[in-house]
Amino acid sequence: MQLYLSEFANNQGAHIPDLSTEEGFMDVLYLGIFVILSPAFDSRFYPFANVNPTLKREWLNAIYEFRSLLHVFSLRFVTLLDGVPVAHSYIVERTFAEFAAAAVVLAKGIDDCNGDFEGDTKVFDDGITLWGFTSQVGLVIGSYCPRILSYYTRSLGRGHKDFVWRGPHIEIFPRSDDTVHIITGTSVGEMLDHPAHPIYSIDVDTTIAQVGQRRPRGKSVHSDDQSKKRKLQS
Amino acid sequence: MPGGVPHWVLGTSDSICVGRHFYAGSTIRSSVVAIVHTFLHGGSVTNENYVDTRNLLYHLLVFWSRRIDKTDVDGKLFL
Repeated sequence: MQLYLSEFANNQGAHIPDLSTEEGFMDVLYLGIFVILSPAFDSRFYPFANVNPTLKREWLNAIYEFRSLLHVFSLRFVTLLDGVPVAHSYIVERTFAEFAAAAVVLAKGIDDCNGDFEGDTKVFDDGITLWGFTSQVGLVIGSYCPRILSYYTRSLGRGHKDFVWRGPHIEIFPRSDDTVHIITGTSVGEMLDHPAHPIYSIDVDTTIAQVGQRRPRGKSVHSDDQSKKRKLQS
Repeated sequence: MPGGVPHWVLGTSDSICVGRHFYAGSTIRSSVVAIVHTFLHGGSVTNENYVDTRNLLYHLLVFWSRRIDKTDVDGKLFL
């Protein structure tokens, strides 16, 4: 049995996403985001303080592997959004915030005939209240990626409904000396935030001088361009 | 048929139906969105809610991570 599983894992037969394609990257991304948010969609995680330790370990281990996988991706590939070199973290965190917002918007919008009411609080099939669900989503985001809380709140405010990526077209290229040379040759380098659709509310240095080597905040090579970028962000 | 696809079964005569649910890597996006809908809509969109199978998704992510970590950018293994 062990031999069979080993052969299965090392050879064809298992669908392994191809990270060099948008489809493969998105498959990994959506599974990872769902796993992170899964305590909100799983009655076994309510209340969060009393979760079975084995279950919690499995969950945390999966998140650890997801982060590891994203790190591998960032070492091997660069991403372009409509031709603009943007760090993969932007795609990950924007998708994460929008997925969570879409779930909460859906929960709030469920027609009354699909949900019972306990006092003035909507209750889902597993006995979880709307308040409990939204609190759990906020708790997970606050724990995993607090810097997107503001974008998550903004997405909620505008009633974001799409679970799938609706951002710019994603292109993925192998991270090689040639691609690094081309990107660093542009005026902006690889950006951490997208100028046309910023998701970070804090005023960060959005460029990376050398691909794979991010400059500390406030240390911009193109100081003249910085004011323009910050205007775009605000 | 991926998760989240509305469907119905028409029997033209008395029948015994056997069904199966599965997670497929190639349709994983549909599956996770369907789980969200299932959780929120409950019995109005599904006849079963397999909470325990969420652990399979944890295992799938770990499997992908460890398998991709051994794969070069051209998709070939460098074990």
